[in-house]
Amino acid sequence: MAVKTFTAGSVLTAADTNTYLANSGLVYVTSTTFSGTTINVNNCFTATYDNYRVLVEVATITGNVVPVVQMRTGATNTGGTAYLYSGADFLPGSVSSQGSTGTSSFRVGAHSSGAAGMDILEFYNPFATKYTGLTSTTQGSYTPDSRFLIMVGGYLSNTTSYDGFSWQVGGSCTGTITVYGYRKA
Amino acid sequence: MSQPLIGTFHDAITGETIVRELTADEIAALPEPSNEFAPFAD
Repeated sequence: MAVKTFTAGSVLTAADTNTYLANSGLVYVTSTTFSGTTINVNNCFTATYDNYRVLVEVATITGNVVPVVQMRTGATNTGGTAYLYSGADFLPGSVSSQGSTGTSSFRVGAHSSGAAGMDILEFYNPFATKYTGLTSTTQGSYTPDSRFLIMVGGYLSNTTSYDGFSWQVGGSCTGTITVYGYRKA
Repeated sequence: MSQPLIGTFHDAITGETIVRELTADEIAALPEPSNEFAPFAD
């Protein structure tokens, strides 16, 4: 019951409001401000949704950092060598590729001190016993006038069910992280 | 002496957020920092 068409004279009931207006396509799951070198979110992936969007808004950061993401289950990070990804760094006047075929984390973006940025992460089937997919899009800057866009896609080649994730940087940062689920019906 | 590594731990069920120093085990499990971005490798 994802869509209902109201016509002239239709009565908009409280139930309709709750069902059709309050429950949008993206549904808020959780959010927190953060500080430090790792941000760990537990119990955000459940059977309620298959796919998730995570916004990582970086407000301040120390140094030049390239964040990585690891999946979590039972509040423990998953390392190993089963993360595979590829992507591209778009800089003014140039594009370079990057990637890895078997490493301990997803590389998702880049951020530089004094420049706020945003990582948009999309997780596919993290809670299901399927491969967990991830795509990320990052915008940022590393000097006052040098902008960049980074796009990465990959997957974790095991069928473990994950209930959380860890976003990690080599430096210290502050910001806000928000998790949304894609409504299924 | 190096600065302690701090982490934020958030639970989506309870809404609780804790900011604390990472344990030795958590530090040992951290992946190697990446420099996989050309402008940062200069």
